[in-house]
Amino acid sequence: MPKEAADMAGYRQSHFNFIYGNQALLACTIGFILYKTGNFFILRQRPAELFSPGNYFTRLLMPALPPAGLYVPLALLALLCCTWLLGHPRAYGLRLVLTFQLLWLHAAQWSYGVFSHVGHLLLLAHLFSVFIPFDLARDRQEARLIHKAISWYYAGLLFTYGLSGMWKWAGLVYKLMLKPGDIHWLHPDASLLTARISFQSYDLPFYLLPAFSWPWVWQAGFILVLLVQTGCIVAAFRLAWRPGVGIALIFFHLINAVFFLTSFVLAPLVIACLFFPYHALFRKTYARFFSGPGALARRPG
Amino acid sequence: MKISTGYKLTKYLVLASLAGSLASLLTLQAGLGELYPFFHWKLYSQPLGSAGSYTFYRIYSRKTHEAHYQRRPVRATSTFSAEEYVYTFNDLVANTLADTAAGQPHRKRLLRFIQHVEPGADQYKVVAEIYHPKAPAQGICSYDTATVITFQ
Repeated sequence: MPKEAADMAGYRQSHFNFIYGNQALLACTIGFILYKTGNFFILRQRPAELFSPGNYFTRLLMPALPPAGLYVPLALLALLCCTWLLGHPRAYGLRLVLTFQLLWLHAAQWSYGVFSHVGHLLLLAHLFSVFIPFDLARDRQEARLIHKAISWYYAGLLFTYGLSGMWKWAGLVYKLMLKPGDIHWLHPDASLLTARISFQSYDLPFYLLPAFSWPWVWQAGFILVLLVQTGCIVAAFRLAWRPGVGIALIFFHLINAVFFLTSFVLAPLVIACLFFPYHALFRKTYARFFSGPGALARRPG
Repeated sequence: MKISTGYKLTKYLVLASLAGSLASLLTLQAGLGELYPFFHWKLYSQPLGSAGSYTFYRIYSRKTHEAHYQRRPVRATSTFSAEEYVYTFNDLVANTLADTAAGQPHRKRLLRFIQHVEPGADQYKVVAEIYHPKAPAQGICSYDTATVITFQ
């Protein structure tokens, strides 16, 4: 296939997968809003003195736990925004409104202790999508710009994992060079120790000892995590990498949840929504998406 | 919105977010707080217990007629999941230990949290349980204790 045709096929695949991924994200967000609303009624049962916003951001958004008469209508409004956007994805102003609504709904949970990593990927996934064109391109130049915008979108999301990977690299080098007596991530006991302490943190019996019978597996696993986390940002600019990177990141979260009791529920869901190769699942729809019936209505102007 | 405009705005938004994340690392180090909230990706940069010891904080309580304090293990309650319990409790303990403010607001909040998750006792204290895992395969059940916070 000539390079120009191959590039155009890539641009279209990227755009199709993003559009469908965004629809899946909105559907997931509807579930998130319902969960948050239910969670709000649990937060209301906690002593009022425990509500204590930890940074200027949450103090600005929610200086006190709001009454149900305010929270529920705003949650309902966010639900309506999500539902409207499912059918009208080009409502860019509404996307921005939804992002701030989600930020506000989430601020309640952020104000009872340190939860700085909770919910970030979902919020960023909405924030970075605000300006991405949902109109179909009229020519190759427009298709290329849309593809580049989507690449930046994924770069913004994958940067979070990249930075986490960089911290691990820095931590490993620091220990190896300055504190060789300490246990570092390549030490044979590192993963077992972390798992035991994680379970002890929750006063849970540790029953996973057999899984750590071969330390070299965990040492190799850490190297793999380093490579996946620091290298995953390439998937932002290499379309073919995205499904594989998505699977690797979801697997990484599953391992953390099972063996180290570090549960990220939203992050793997968001990854599943955004990294799934929808063009391979909805082949017939994909085949006529850019030139079949209805394609004209999705073009700008 | 023009497609070229959408592309530029997306790119600048992502770059601004990245800059905010990196700036937050510096402002936090300088004691100025989090400039941008989406930055805290320093998770498990070291194995737990890597320095040779690990400290857990636990609630100990007793009724007036009891001779000894009883250890209260972490548990989910009707308003806190086990994870929320651990994060909230550890945050309150850390802030209380660092609290030098008049009236010690964190100490009052900590006591309120303790009374909420472990009601029914007359006296409470927070104990640091310090583990020194020498052989992780053999378990880390033994630990030293030190009372760090008492409530009279």
